[in-house]
Amino acid sequence: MRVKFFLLFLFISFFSYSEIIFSDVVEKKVKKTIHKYLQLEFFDYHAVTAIPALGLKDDHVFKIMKGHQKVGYFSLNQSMGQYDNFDYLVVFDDNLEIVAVKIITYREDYGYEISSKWWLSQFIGKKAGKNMKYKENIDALSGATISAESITESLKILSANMIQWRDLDLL
Amino acid sequence: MKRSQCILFVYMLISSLLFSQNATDKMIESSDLGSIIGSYGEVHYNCQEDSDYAKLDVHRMVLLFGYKFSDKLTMATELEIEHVKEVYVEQAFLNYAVNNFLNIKTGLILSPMGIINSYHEPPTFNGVERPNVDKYIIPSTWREIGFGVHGRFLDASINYQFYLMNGFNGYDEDGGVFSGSSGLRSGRQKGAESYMSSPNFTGRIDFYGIPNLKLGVSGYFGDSQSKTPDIDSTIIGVNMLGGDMRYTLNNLELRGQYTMVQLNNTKAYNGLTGSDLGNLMVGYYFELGYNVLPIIMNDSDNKLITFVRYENYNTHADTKEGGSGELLSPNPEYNRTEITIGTGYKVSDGAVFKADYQLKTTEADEDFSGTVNLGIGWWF
Repeated sequence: MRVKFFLLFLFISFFSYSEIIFSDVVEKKVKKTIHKYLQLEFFDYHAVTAIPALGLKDDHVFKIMKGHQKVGYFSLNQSMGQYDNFDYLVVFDDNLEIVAVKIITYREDYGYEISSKWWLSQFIGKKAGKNMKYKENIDALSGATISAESITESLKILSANMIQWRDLDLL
Repeated sequence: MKRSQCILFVYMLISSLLFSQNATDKMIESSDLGSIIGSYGEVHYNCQEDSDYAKLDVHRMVLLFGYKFSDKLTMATELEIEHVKEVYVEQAFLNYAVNNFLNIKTGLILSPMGIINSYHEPPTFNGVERPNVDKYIIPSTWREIGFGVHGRFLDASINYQFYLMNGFNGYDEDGGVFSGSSGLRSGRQKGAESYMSSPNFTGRIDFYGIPNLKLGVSGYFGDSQSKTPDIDSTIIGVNMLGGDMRYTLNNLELRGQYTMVQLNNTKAYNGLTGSDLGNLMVGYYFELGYNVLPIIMNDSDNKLITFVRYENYNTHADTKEGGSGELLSPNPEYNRTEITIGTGYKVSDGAVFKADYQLKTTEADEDFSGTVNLGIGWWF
């Protein structure tokens, strides 16, 4: 298993290193969110390029650094709504607990309600994909079932994978 | 339509398109491109108690087809077949997303008045038939050719939409089109060889920042279209204002809407056309629904929603124009009240079986008349 991951790691570092370009608007939003939820004034961030997109498409994980100290992670991710996908930001602390979730871009006319703070705040404190079942631990959202279920599932997989990746020293 | 207005409309249209092409703001990596397909539709059984027979109808079947040219540029169309044989285009537009805050939409678009005109897929509303407030006060499905902007302030939980669009046909070769009984409904041009003498403005703001609550305010302002716009009495001024709310808490659903339409120049219009158009139309409804399935089955993803809806809509809410005395006497038959009691079984989020009983009366009637409705609906 370890060998497999190591090969995958090599493959990915060689062939799929790509600088993710995000606009000023997105960068500003990311910085503002990290500043607010991790109480960080100054920090750097670097893409974790070694992470294979295990079961997740367009998955991008970044390390948040304060000097040489690792203080957390964030990911810019995409998930599917009824007819179109949407982009979201999730911030983890160093302990891999979710500290913030924000919708960055929502494109279609259905399901935009998932961007409301009161609903997204349910994910705060979740870790390792545990207690993240839609309708069970996460309240259903009327009029936005598809998008709400989709982001819940996406966050659940990502937060479970984060633990695995840390255990494999990939983070 | 005045030449200057024509030029202004075209200028704004062109500048909005140019602006949209200049914005090349690159977001995170591109998402899946390509075709989007979907459908919604409903098949109905309606039986009026005092009728000798029931009616069975494929009320509407709609095919959605869209294409995503890029993360920013999308095309969306809805092809509608009503009653099996009438073909309409319900929407056909290009949307350019500059960013979250600003989108530009151009083509055949929906007026964002009320809840149902924008969200009318059968699994999204209770009852076999749509509320009649959304038929006679807001003439759903109401669409015209136009353009405008819309966007979201995600952090504030606010959406906005503002459009300039073509107005109602109020006077053509056959004379007056509006009536006291159905208001503006017959004046919808639906983008079918429509004509314009002056563009109309419509807008809506949605707020969803309070837990479980969605609030909306919408408006529509402008003059009706006339093929002889030099004759002032062929034109009606339309001012529409409305508010709506949707609240959900666990298994409870509440929904309400209020819409008023103030019409100007009705006295002159009625004098010319022999119509009986009132100068104020008001409609509202309130609906209470409850998902009873968890009581019967503990572990089901489906929903069995029982509901009751009270509606009142009056197309002759006022017939005194501007305090200048009685324009015409209000027709009590146009003050209509309906109570609908029913249930909807959602076997999936996108498929529903519906059954309800409607009691209808007017100010002129002493009794209620009953109708039994059954229907199926889908959306994906």
